[in-house]
Amino acid sequence: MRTWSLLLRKELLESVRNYRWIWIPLVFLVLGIMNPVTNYYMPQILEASGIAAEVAEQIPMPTPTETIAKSLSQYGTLGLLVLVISFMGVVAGERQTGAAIMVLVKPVSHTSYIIAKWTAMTAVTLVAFGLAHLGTWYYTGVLFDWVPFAAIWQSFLLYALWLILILTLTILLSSLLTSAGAAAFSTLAIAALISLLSQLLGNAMTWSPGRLTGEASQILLTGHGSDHLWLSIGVTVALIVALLACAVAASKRMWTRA
Amino acid sequence: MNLLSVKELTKRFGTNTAVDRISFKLEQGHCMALLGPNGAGKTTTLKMLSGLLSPTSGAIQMGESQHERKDIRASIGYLPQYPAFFSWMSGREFLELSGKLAGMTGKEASSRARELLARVGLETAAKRRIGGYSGGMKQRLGLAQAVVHRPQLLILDEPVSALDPQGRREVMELLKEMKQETTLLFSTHILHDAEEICDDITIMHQGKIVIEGSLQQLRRQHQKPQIRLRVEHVRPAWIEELRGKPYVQDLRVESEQIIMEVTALTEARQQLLQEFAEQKIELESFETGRTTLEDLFMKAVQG
Repeated sequence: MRTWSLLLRKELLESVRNYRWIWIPLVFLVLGIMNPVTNYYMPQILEASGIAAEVAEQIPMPTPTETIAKSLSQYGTLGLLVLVISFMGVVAGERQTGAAIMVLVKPVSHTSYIIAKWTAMTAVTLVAFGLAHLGTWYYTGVLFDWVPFAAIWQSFLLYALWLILILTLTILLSSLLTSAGAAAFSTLAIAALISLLSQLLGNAMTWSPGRLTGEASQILLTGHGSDHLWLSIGVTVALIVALLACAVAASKRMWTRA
Repeated sequence: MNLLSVKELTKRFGTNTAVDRISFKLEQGHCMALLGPNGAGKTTTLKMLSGLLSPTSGAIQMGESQHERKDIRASIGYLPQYPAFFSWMSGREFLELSGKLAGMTGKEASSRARELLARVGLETAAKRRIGGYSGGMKQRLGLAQAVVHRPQLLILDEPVSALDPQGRREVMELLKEMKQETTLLFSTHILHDAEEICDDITIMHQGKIVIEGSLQQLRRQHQKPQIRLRVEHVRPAWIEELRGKPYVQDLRVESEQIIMEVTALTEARQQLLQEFAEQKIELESFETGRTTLEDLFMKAVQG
């Protein structure tokens, strides 16, 4: 516990010094707020691009909840890319430079070492995504109409769980693979595969973590999730725990065997 | 008292045996140098001793008690061959973190960090980012982090190999100081460094210990009388003839110099000089002496 909190402080400070605390929230905030703002100016944008007013009127204006749901899907692509790229070297990079030796030669367990990193990654991500989600909600409320806050925080929790799963996958692959780039690529490939399969085989994969993003949108749009909501939450939490355990074991193995 | 006992320690990577059943003991307060050419298995051995690498087989025991199951890393300070740091941290921050990770309280760690920074000459650089440190400064910071928690055993992997002459001197002086306070085990491929500060040396070659003992003992046992000579027009046949002499134990030719290990110096000198005169061999130089530890080292790692 003690070494965990010391290492957590080190990780958080590192994120401050390399500006992760600034640019990751900034990217998320921009991705999120862009939607309500462009929707608000849509008539002017259409006019400027020379589309006749009659045609423009026929384009349906997205509802406030649709606007927020659209922002969520932005985090799923660009947001994920930013997260994975900024955290891909979290274990592999330290191992490659040799800086990790300086920590692991002190009486520090691999569990503390990995979990501290994971906690710091989760903290940065939750703050970034939370700010972005709040910002989107605020601008949508000011420019269009206010969405009930209950839907906002419920969708936040569901979507955050999906992001945390991807972070956990990143740290696992970063512990398993020697190259940070390979870790990033495989993480993104696996995330894409989970999302794709969950969409294609909708009925067979009601338990899939990939459903969480859809559930988050659905809560925004309809106010409640599907019948299988709790199943996919349970599976995701279990997966996060299992992947973390694997990451700890992988880190230990990498060090003591080779 | 033995601080460290190593028994049949082995490490295999796949089919390659990096360390092959080595056993040795290190007495408390002593300084031991682990010598050997690159690839002899020194780094692998030190990594196993410091708990970074798990042995394939064999035992490492710290202290006397058999039952001590404590984390070995708490009583060891380790400096890797190429120390790398978090470049975004300052020297002081890094030392404080190291101390706290090793179990010191925040207060202890910060006063110890201040003391050590002064001692390794990094006082003025304490607040600067490590990313801007020179190689010598990093090595001194590495040394400071190794001793921050006052370990019983200090393990250093090639502490001076990568440094320029000045940095090397600074680190050697620090090692001499630290030797007074703790038990020291370090690896090097330079015999001279070992002779300068150590009591005991252990020479490794291809994963095995080939020679071990105290410096004094090794000097006594292995220093043999030696004759070095240079002649004009060396004939191979003549060298073979020399090699066959009863008093010549070992003969090698090094940059046109003939180096002979002999059993009895007086007898050998007399006979050789007489022979040169009779055969009218044009002698350029003739020198007698004793084999050095360097010779012993070279012989051990070549044979």
